[in-house]
This record gives sequence, C-alpha cells and structure tokens, in this order.
Amino acid sequence: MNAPLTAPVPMPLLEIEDLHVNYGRIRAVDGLQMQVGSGTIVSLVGSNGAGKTTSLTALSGILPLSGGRIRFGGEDITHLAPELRVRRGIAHVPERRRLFPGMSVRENLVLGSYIRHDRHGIEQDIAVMVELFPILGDRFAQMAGTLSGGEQQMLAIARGLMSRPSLLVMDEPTMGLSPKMIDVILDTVQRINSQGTTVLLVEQNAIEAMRLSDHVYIMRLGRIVHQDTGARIDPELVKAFYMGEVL
Amino acid sequence: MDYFGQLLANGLVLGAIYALTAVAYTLVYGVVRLVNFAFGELFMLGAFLTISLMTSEVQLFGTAVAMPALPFPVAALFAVALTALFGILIDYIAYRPLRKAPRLAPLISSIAVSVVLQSVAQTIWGSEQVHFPDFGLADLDPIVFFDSIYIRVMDVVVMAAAILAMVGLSLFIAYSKLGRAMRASAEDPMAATLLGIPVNRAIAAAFALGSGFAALAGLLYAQSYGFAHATMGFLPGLKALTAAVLGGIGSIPGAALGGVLLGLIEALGAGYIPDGSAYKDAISFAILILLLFMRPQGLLGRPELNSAGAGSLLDGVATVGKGGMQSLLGRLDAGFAWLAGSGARMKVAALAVAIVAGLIIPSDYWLRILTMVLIYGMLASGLNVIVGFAGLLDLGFVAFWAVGSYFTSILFVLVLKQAFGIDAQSVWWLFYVNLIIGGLLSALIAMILGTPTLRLRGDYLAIMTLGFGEIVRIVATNWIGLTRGPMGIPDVPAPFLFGLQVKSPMAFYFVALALTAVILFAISGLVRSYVGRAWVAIREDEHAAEAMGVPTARYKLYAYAVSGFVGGFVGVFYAHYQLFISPLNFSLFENIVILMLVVLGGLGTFIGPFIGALIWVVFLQLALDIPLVQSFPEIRFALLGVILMCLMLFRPQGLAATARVKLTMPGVGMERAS
Amino acid sequence: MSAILSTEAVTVRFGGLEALSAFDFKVKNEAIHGLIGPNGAGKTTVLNVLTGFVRPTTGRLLFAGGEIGGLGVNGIAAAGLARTFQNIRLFGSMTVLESILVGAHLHFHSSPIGLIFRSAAARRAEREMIESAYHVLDFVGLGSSFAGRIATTLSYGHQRRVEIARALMSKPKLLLLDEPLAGMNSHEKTEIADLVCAIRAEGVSVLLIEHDMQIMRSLCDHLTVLNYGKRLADGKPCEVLADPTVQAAYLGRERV
Ligand SMILES: Nc1ncnc2c1ncn2[C@@H]1O[C@H](COP(=O)(O)OP(=O)(O)OP(=O)(O)O)[C@@H](O)[C@H]1O
Ligand SMILES: Nc1ncnc2c1ncn2[C@@H]1O[C@H](COP(=O)(O)OP(=O)(O)OP(=O)(O)O)[C@@H](O)[C@H]1O
Ligand SMILES: [Mg+2]
Ligand SMILES: [Mg+2]
Repeated sequence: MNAPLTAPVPMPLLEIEDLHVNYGRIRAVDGLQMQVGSGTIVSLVGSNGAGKTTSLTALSGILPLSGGRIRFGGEDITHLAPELRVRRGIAHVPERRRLFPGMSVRENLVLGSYIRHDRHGIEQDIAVMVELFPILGDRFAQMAGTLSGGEQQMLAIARGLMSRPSLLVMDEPTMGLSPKMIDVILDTVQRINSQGTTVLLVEQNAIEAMRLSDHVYIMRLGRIVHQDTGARIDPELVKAFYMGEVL
Repeated sequence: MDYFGQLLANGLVLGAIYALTAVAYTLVYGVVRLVNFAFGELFMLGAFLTISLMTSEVQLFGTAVAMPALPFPVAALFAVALTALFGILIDYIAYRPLRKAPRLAPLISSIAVSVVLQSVAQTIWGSEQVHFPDFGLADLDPIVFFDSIYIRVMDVVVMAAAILAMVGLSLFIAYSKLGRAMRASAEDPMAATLLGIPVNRAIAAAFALGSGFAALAGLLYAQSYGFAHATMGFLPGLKALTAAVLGGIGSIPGAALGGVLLGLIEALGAGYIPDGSAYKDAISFAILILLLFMRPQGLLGRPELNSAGAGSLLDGVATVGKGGMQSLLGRLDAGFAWLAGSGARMKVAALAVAIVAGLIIPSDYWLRILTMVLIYGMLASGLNVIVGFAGLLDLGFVAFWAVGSYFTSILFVLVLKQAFGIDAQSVWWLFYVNLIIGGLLSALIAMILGTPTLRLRGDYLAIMTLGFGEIVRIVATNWIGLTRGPMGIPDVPAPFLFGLQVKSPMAFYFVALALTAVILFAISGLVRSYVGRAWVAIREDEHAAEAMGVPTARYKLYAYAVSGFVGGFVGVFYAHYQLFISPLNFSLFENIVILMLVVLGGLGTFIGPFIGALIWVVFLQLALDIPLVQSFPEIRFALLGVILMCLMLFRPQGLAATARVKLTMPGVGMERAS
Repeated sequence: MSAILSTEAVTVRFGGLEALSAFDFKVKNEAIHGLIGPNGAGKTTVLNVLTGFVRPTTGRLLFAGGEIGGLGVNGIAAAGLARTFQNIRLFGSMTVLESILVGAHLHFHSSPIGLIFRSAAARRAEREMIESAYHVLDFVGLGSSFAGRIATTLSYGHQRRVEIARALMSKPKLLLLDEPLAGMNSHEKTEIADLVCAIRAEGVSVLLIEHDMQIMRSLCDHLTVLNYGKRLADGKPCEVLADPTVQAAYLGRERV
C-alpha cells in the first residue's frame, strides 16, 4: 500500500465501511472502504471482475451484504429496503441498463419518476431529457427493447435522472455510446453535478473519469488499492494497476 | 334461429364468467409471469363464501353454525373482499419466498396451494353439493327476446358486471401509477426496485385483484348453476386459463375476448355437433391449438410477450436455506454434487444397491412401492428430457404414456385374444417388441404433436401441449369402439420371459429395474454429448443457439421424440404391470404429478426424477397409516401439498439440484479440467 | 483480395422507420473491416440482417460467392458466419467449456446410436473438440481455469471473451463482432484488439463494430461509416476519420 487511506473528504454524503459481499464462496467485495463527499464526483475504476458492479449493487440494497456498513446523509442505511434507498435520494443506473423492454420510451421515463408526485415537474423533466437526447424524442412510442444499444443506454441514464436524485450512481454510463454521445453524457454529468447532485461513477475509461472526478478510487480483487484526488493521480500508475503489476 | 339464439345467449353468459376468471390469470401472469393454478380454487371459495354469508345457518366441519343471512349483493361483496385478502395471504406464504427461485417452483407451489385449498374446502363444507340460496333478483321472470330466447335477469347482471369490471381494470392497468408499477415489476423486478417501486406490494395488489375477480366469477357461476362444490373450480379454472392464453396471456382485453369466444364455442359445439357435449372440451382445445398455431402470441397478445416465459426454467439464486438448515442442505448438496461428479463406478454401485434391495426386501408391499417408484421415475426422466434439458414446458406428456399403454393393451387383449383367440404366452416375445414399437409410436406422435408447437414459447407451449394431452384423454374416454372408453381394458396379460410368467412383485421389480437402466443409459448417452448441449442451449437462449448453427426446430423435435419414446416404452410396461388400464390413469393430474416429481427432484439432473418419485410414492402410501388421514381421506392431498410447498420453499431448484449433469462425454478430454 | 461478403441495396424497415436504406458494402477476404456510426445508425441491424435475425425488406446478401438471404439463422451459421451479440447472450447454467462447445455444434456428426453406445468415433470427435476448446480458451486469454465456471457468473469483460471463443469454435470464415470492447478498460481493449489481429492472422475475416476510434484507426484495414441507415463514407481509416462530414456526424471534440 503506497498511498494514505485518510483522504480529505468534505462532509461525506456516502460512507462505505468494510463492505463484504459474497457469491456463495466467491468473495467479490472484500472489505471495501470509501467515502463520497457531498457535491463531488467520485470515480471507481478497476479491471474486469474487480467487484465494482457488485459494490454498487450492494449499495442499492439489491445484493445482501455479508458484512460492513453503509451510511448515507448521516443515516445508517445498511438494512434499509432498496426501494426506500431510492426515496432517500439514491438513483442507480445499472450495468446492462435494465430497461423495461416491453414498455415504451415514454413509460420508461415516467417510471423513472415513480417516487415523485409533481406531475407538472415530471412532464418538464421529460422535456429536458428529450432535449438532452433528441433521438429519444423521435422514438417516444417505440418499445425500449427494440432500441439500439446506444439509444438504450441514453434512455437508462435519462430514466435514472428522472428521480432527481441527490446521489447518482452510474455503472459504465458510456458503454456502447458513440464518441459524440460520450461527450454529451460527460458534459451532463458535470452539469448536474454543478447543480448540486453528487455522482458516483464506475467507468472503464479511466482517463476520462480522472479528468472529470474530484476523487478516484482504484479497485482490485474486491478492495480499494489506491485512491487520490482526480488531478493528482498518475495515469501511468492507473495503467499499472490495471495490468496487475502493482498490488 | 331460435335454437341458435338461445345457444348464443347461453354461450355469452358462460363466456362472461370465463372471461372474469381469465382476467385473474392474465393479471397475475402479467405481473409475476406465473400461471397461478390456485385461481380455480379461489373461484370455488368465492362461491362457498357467498352461499355461507347468504344463509342463516351452514354446516361447517359437519356442525351447524349460525350465519348472518345477508342479501346477495352484500354477501357477494364480502366474499370478493375476503377472497382478495386471502389471495394476498397466499402470495405471501406460497409465492413471495419463491420470487427469485426458478420459474417452475412457484408453478408447482401454486398446484400445491390448489390441492390444499380443495381438500380443506372439502373438509369444511363437505364433499356434497351445496345449494345456492334463492334471492329476489334470481326469481324475476326471464327477459324474452324475439319471442323465444330466454335470458334471466341475473344473466344480464353477470354480463354487465363482467363488462364493467374488465373495462375498469384495463384502464387501471394502462394508466394508473400502480398499474404501471405492476407492469414494470413484471418486466424487470430488479430495475423496478431500483426506481423505488415496492415490487412486493405491487405484486400483492395484483394477487388481490386477481383473486377478487376469480371470486366474483365463482359466485356468479354458482348462482347460475344453483350449487357450489369443492371441486367446482377445476374445470372452469382450466377453461379460463385456456381463454387467457387464447386471447394472448397478459392482455386483459384478450382475456375477455378469449373467455367469450370459448363460452360461445362450447355452447354452440354442444348444441350442433353430434356427440357434441361429450367432445365439447376437446373442441375447445382443438380450436385453441389451431389458433395458437396461426397466431403464436394469442389473439390480442403482443409478439414480444411470446418470448416472456422463454429462457431458463432453472434460473435462480444459487444459495438458499437458512441457519441450521443451511449446513444440513450444504451436506446434502455436497453429496449430490459428489454423486454427479463420480463417474461410472458410482453408477455400478447404485445399480448394485438397487439389485441387493430387490433381493433382501422381503415384503411384497414394499417391492410394489419400489416398482411404482421406478415407473414414475422413468416417466419423470422422460419428461425431464423435454422440460429439464430442452426447456419446453410440456403438459401433454401423459398422452405418450397413454399411447404406449393403449397400443399394447389393444393389441394383446382386443386384437390377439378376443379377435383371433391367440394366447399371450404363445407370443410372449411380442411384449419386448412392443416396448420398442410402443416407444416408436409414441415418439412419432410426439413429433407430430410437437410440430405445431415449434414456434411457441414458454407458457403458450405449456397450454398447447396441455390441450393435446386432454384431447387424447377425451378421445380415449369417448371412442368406445377402440378403447372401450371409461370401462377400460381389463385382463392385460403379465409379461412372460421364455415361458415363465412375470408374476411376483420381485420379478416385476427386476424387470422395472432393467428397463430403468436401459432408459437412463440411453438418455445419458444423448444428454452428455453435443445433442444435450444443443438442448440446453435452446433452453437458455434459443436465438443464440440458432446463431451457433443449432437447427433449433429439429432439436426440439428430437427432444419430443426421446421424451415420447420413453413415455410409450414405460406405458407398455405399465399396462402389463397394472393388468388393467382406463382413461383415468392418464389424467391431467397425473401429468402434473410427473412434472412435479421432476421439479421436486431437480430439473436437468438424472437422479432428481427418481428422488421425486420416491418421495411422492412413499408418502402417498405412508400417509394412509396416519390416523387423521384415515378419518379424513381428503387430507392426504392437503398434507402432500403442504410438504410440497415446504420443499419448494427450502429447495426451489429441486432436492438434487447440485447433481447437475455435465454435458460433455464422460471420460473424454477431462484431463485439463481439474 | 476478393470480397468475401457483399450486400446489394439492402433495405430494412421497422414499421415506419427505415433502419437501413439501400445499403451496400463489401468486406474483403482476410480483412479487418470496421463499421462505425452514431448510435441508432443501423450497425447492429446490418449484423442482424447478415446473420438472418432480421429479414431485409429488399436487397441481396452474398457470402463466399453464394446467396445467403434465404438460408435462415442456422443455415447462415453453417455457411461460415459467426457472431457475438451487443447485449451479451451466453447460455445460463452452462459452464464455459460447454457453452463454447455449443459453438462447435456444426462440426459434430455422430449418430444417436453412436452417442448412446459412445462409439470410438463419437468419443474421438468429442475429444478433438474439447482439445480445440481449451486451445481457443487460451487463445482468447481465458485459460483452462475458467473452463468449469458457469459462464454467466463471470464478470462482463470475461463474458465477452467467452462469446468470442464460442463464435470462434464454429471455425467461421467471417467473424462478426458487435462492440467487443464495450465495458473494457484501455489495457483490456488493446488485449482484445491484439486478439482480433491474431484471429485475422489465422485466415478469418472480421467485421467489427466499435466506438473507440483510437483502436479502430490502428486496427482496421477498412472503415464503413453509417448514418441514418445510409452509407456516409467508406475507405481507409485515416481518410474516413479525416472526412469533415464524418467528424460532424459522429466524432466528438478532441477525439479526431
Ligand atoms: N452472480 C454471480 N455469481 C458468482 N460470481 C459472480 C456473480 N456475479 C459476479 N461474480 C464474480 O464477482 C466478481 C466481481 O464481479 P463484478 O461484476 O462486480 O466485477 P466488475 O468490477 O463490475 O467487472 P466488469 O468491469 O467486468 O463489469 C467477479 O469475479 C465475478 O466473477
Ligand atoms: N424491432 C425494431 N423496431 C423498431 N425500430 C427498431 C427495431 N430494431 C431497431 N430499431 C431502430 O433501428 C435503428 C437502428 O438500430 P441499430 O440497433 O442497428 O443501431 P446501431 O447502429 O447498432 O446503434 P448503437 O451504436 O446504438 O448500437 C435504431 O434507431 C432502432 O431504434
Ligand atoms: Mg461491472
Ligand atoms: Mg448496435
């Protein structure tokens, strides 16, 4: 371990302590420690199978923990039901998008705002999403399952934004997107962050992630092996971690 | 015209009732992708509750109990509400723990619930018909149309209620927030949870609604026919399910259309076709099959939903069980895994144990039971090929069994003995030839029946094959000239081996054991090769399999053929073992039992079917010795249902699920695997 | 080099939407051919048409000198086209070894009787295929330790490799890869890119859909750009990527 684990984090919104998640005998997450400061963008990077998706899924309450604590906004949510975590303000854009394939684009968006009751605001936000991703507007009545891969990805992100979360958790949001769309997504992330939304990002494109993030965690074999502020982290080091040369 | 008009009117009323029940199936299917067989019993419950609330005194558990004697509308309302609550309770106990289990586990659980409810109702209200009390609305003079078509006022009420309820429900599902949440939970429960939808509550709401609809249909039905009975829900339930599929399962207008169509077909078929009432069920199933053949997604179903219910029947969480159970089950799992892992030596050892068991068990009683275990185990193994490996949910499997049994019985008894006077002993070898011919005949029929199902998926396929099974049974019952109908065929000769008749239970046991070995040898040869891999690939993702060059249609037919062959093969032996066969041996219930054995033991394993059969047959026998069962024989099935449910809750993927079959040839190229 | 694959005026309509309009292109033998374009341009649709998943409304498909339009999905696979899926589609509950053996389905010919009695020929065929499966696993960088794992419990990146291995097992003439690099980090991307080169070196042509232009520029011999179902550009990567219309339609800032 060549970096101090005591990072200066301003008023953490999310604190994960000693998180353990097992699949049967496989220890996918093995003592994860991380903090996400309020109003920041934090990236979690690491190679395939490092346990990033597993960590996020556990954070949302979908996977049972075998140990550890999760605090959100000062409250212990370790044992909170997943749907209540959403009400606390966590939105999760999951790996593989998980859209409702037999429902229209519009219905998917409306469902994204399930926890909200301001009908007017919901319609407004739908309009905002269409502005952001014009192609979704063209496909309003199409079944989500027949959209192209990239269109589905846009819809998944838009659906996640519809709940107006205070913490937006995104698992590889740029997967399958064209270079132009990646710019749009990353700009959007930055914009909603500047409007006050905290973002936790899992991203394979480490360089982009670092450019964007206030803080970067590098994960390997279920643990954090390195962390630093986005600007300070050395790209060569990241590369080395990916290739498994440093442990 | 008058006759036609009257039939039309009757058909519409019946159709309205079917439609209401069909909506229950469709609704719950639409939300949890579960065909909840228990709706037939909730239908019955609605009827009994209404009757009980309307009278001033009912017989419960054989004793008179005072009741409030409410007017019909109030009683009906209470009955519907109570049944709805009951539906939520059932969901909570029997289905919710299985949410992440393989898709077939809740199906079996729903069958168990249905069996339990039926026998409980029989225990509470007795096994006699209960008369539906008279009330004002029902006593009004019928309305007369065109001078000759009589429609009772209550029938008008029935139709109005059906229309109102269905329109309301469609709007609710399409546009309300809860309705949308229900559909979302159906499509992807995890994604729905991630959006803050309380999935379990949405599902409970669907169960409440569905149960309410079933109860409404049931009480209207009982009112229409003037009585209620503990088994009254079975047939209408099946019809309603058919109607739901016909209309496109998951679609509420579809269910309504399907229900009405089915009611009309039945009424008109019974009125116009000679022998129509005997064959009316066969006619509705034939039409169902024809329609599904032309429109695999049902009349109003969406094509995309056709693929729902496709995919893995085995999918599910890998870890279950809690606390102390966990370690016990863990040891069990390890045992099964070891069994499956240890190769040829294990098989020899198992065979040796079975042989020694046959030699040392002195009691004929137990040998007979073990023979039954082997017979059911073989049948379940045959079904396992198509359901467990190829993933095609076949509910018409008994038909193959029946074909084998009838083929050999007709040949030996009706043709050779009665027509030509040839004695079985002089053609003793024919039994062995028949095993093969009966098997091939069934395989051929299986392939013919399988062909129209090739484009169908999941539950549509289940219902179509169920229709085939029922048609075969109905034909066997009514084609007296060929099968002697319900009288059955008696005096089927026991098999001979070189002039020696197989008579003693021990001899039968060994014949059954030999046949079992043959069947398992053949099945495992096919499964542990590229054929088995193609089957499993089809089960898991048909399109991807096709893209890898697997001709999926052809391989599905192979699976039907193998499964049919086993059914026919065992059927031949079964006839010569039972010495008497009748259509009762091949009911839908038997089919469900066989399916249950496979699921109970573990789909896609070799040993599972036999474990399932062991539990089932042995329990059925042992239960007869329990004093409670001796005084209330119906309780036997209730107990069985409860046991089944518990097993499903603790072991949703089957007892021997870890005895997963390796799909590569044993002993080939495994050097590097370890 | 001659063309192994060509399409002639292929049009695909979904209801009112024209996902492909009179699209034609050629893939040269033993080439790595890239297909790029904005999201929703119709790239996956091209793959679906080629593999028989979607029937073209009009147009012809020629592969290795023959028409493949009417062959059906498995017929096309038998003709020598293998694919991977943009949304990974592995067989649940099968091990990695079993899954990729399904890819070799076309090369098994033993009779049912031979299988039941495990004839010498059947055993030999099985052994050869298992050997080659282990070889392919090594080749895609998974190694034999993954052979016994249930394929769908691997991480996303490993599942992609299993998909490629499964497609390779059919010994295709042309391999169609739909975004094989999605969800991988830069290091893994170069690994897969090297893999694609190695596949071509074995004499297999590759048609590749991918959004990472850095990789595509160096990897592909030829690029075709799709936009709104029409061919926007076609040619050598450096020329195509320098084309201002392509830049405007597809590429974002600073990636050019
Ligand atoms: N359902 C499962 N059952 C068993 N093991 C699993 C399951 N899902 C994931 N794993 C294992 O857990 C580990 C972590 O997987 P995870 O999906 O979290 O990785 P990841 O960091 O998201 O990787 P990627 O970048 O490829 O998405 C892997 O070793 C994987 O094989
Ligand atoms: N079954 C369908 N019904 C209606 N529209 C469809 C259907 N399938 C695809 N489309 C539409 O056709 C267009 C082309 O889709 P395609 O999947 O080929 O895009 P793509 O180029 O692969 O995009 P991506 O890079 O996002 O994967 C999309 O706009 C999609 O919405
Ligand atoms: Mg991941
Ligand atoms: Mg695509």
